Amino acid sequence: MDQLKILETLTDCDGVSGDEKNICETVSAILKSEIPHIKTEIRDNNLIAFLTKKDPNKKTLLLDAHIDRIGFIVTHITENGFLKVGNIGKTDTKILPAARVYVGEKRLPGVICTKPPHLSDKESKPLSVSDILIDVGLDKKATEEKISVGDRVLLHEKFTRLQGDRIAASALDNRAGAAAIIMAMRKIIAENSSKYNVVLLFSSCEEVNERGAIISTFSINPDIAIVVDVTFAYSHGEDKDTVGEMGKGVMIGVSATLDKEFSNALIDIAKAENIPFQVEVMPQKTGTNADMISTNRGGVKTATLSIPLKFMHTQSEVVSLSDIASTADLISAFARS
Amino acid sequence: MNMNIKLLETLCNLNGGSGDEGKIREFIYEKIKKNADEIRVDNLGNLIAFKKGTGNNRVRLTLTAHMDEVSFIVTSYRDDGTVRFAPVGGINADSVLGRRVISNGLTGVIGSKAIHNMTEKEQQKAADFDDFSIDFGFADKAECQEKISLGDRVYFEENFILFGNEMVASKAIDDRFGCAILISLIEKNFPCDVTFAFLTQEEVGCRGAKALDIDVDIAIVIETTTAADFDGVLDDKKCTRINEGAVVTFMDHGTIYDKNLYELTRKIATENGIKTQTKTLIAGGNDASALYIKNGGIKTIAISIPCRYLHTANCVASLSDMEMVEKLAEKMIKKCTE
Repeated sequence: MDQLKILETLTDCDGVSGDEKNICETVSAILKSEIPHIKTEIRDNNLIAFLTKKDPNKKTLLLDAHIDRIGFIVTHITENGFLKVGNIGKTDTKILPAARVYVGEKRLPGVICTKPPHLSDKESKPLSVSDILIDVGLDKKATEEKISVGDRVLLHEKFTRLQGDRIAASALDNRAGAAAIIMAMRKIIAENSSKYNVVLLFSSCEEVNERGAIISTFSINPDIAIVVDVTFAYSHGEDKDTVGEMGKGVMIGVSATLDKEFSNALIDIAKAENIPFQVEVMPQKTGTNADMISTNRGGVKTATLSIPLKFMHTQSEVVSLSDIASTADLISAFARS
Repeated sequence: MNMNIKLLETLCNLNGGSGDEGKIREFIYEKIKKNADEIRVDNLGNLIAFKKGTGNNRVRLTLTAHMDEVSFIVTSYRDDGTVRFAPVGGINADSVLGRRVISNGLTGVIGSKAIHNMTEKEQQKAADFDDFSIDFGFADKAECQEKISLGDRVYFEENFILFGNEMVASKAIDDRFGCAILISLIEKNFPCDVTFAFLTQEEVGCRGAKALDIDVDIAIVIETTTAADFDGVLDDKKCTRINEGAVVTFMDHGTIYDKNLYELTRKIATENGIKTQTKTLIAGGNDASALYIKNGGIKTIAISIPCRYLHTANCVASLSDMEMVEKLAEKMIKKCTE
């Protein structure tokens, strides 16, 4: 499967936090199509894959990307058959009015209600998620037959190429990271010179409380870890000094919770291999799975590699393919270093 | 089901904003030319098709629908390769963030600063077009300037779907639905002469209707009108309700409809078992406002479908209401001849 097809397949899949079964199976199928003998297991909505046979003389390198996505969960069906929902992951509620959504396993289409001008307040503030209603075009009885409280709701737009090498899709946070790990895996296998036992983790529930990374890292028990996630790219309204630039390469994290030597080693490798990179300074925590993975069982030396992304936590996130490629290149270069 | 869903889908998925109705007009022209006795396009872009009646009745009647949809226009370039834009027609800034759009065949995304990076105050600020940009994927301003010109039109991406219980969601039900009804009715024969008028620029002040130069006695406007029939809205504020039938309006913000014609319309509906409702609120307006003050006063009525989330990327309406409007319009034309 080529890079675009992998990204399209990943971003098209559901997997709101706590409901990652389908995305685990989708990633597992991609891994197996690439490497038929790869050993994978799905535990508690997390997918773990062992890239190489465990060599007791080598350290274990964990490559993590979370595969859950933001969305909603149905909490109530109203008298008129509309849905009330709760939040999973933080969204800008300004993206909600009149947005297309998809409900449950069968992805029943719906539209988020928006008030017409005669009902809206001129000084109106953005909605709170508890205010919204979802219109599924059915009365109460029909809604109850097709939808249950607890069903997940996807904010979803189709995968599309924009100009240059940019992609617009839903859930690029963090399916872009998952794609980078899959591409890195390919290179590591092809080069066959890894200095580590490499374990891949596609983790659940990062958008809620990083539970997937916490419990899976415990069972994998790695020595070092690279967490691949997305970060903010410059776009209008952002502070240029504090965010990355799209298309300028992988962002190597530097943070109090990360291993400084590891960050420096990645910077050195990127320089030596001519891999485009940017440095992302996160003074305290990283806000990624790295914060949790690094404190597992006596500590894990952890680094973050981030893909710059525009419009985070909207239904149309944007990334540059070259940034995913440089992330994969740096991971594989590290594995053989 | 009478409604020609395929035709509605095609019309809804075309792009044509106020002053840029060319694609819609060309499509409709090709569709109806064989059924019209005379067909012309006036200087404001209105497509006017005259169909001679089969009888010798002297009543002259027009049916109108507007071709334009709400859209956007590029107003300036931003330094990050994105563009600034403004609405053409009444699009509320509340309902555009995160939407996919298309301009000159290029797909774009409406975005703003990430919620994570906003201060508490910024998070609580109402939606504002000035904070939004369209990203087509250009690396920088120069690249953007090569492909996108100031004044280029921007449309919500085509997105027609059938969903729920025979419901439709699309960017342009307002008023491609009306166009679909006119296209369907012009195929039929009526005893009186009927002028089918596909109008421009309704969304920016009914300008096509204002320019329309035809000599008729009665005008029937086929439109969409607000439905706010969801939980938490007081009954009268719902305005109209989905699946409660064709909306026949006695008054809105633009028009006081002819009382006799209003009553006749309701009567014809009742006699023919066609479900109708009225608005429970004086709100909105349409081309009727321009037609009923024209030529010494054309007797005008509007027959509409109730439509949720008007002027957004996802207007929602029901096929059953559409069918009621079509039936009622057809009966009205026949009855007016008597």
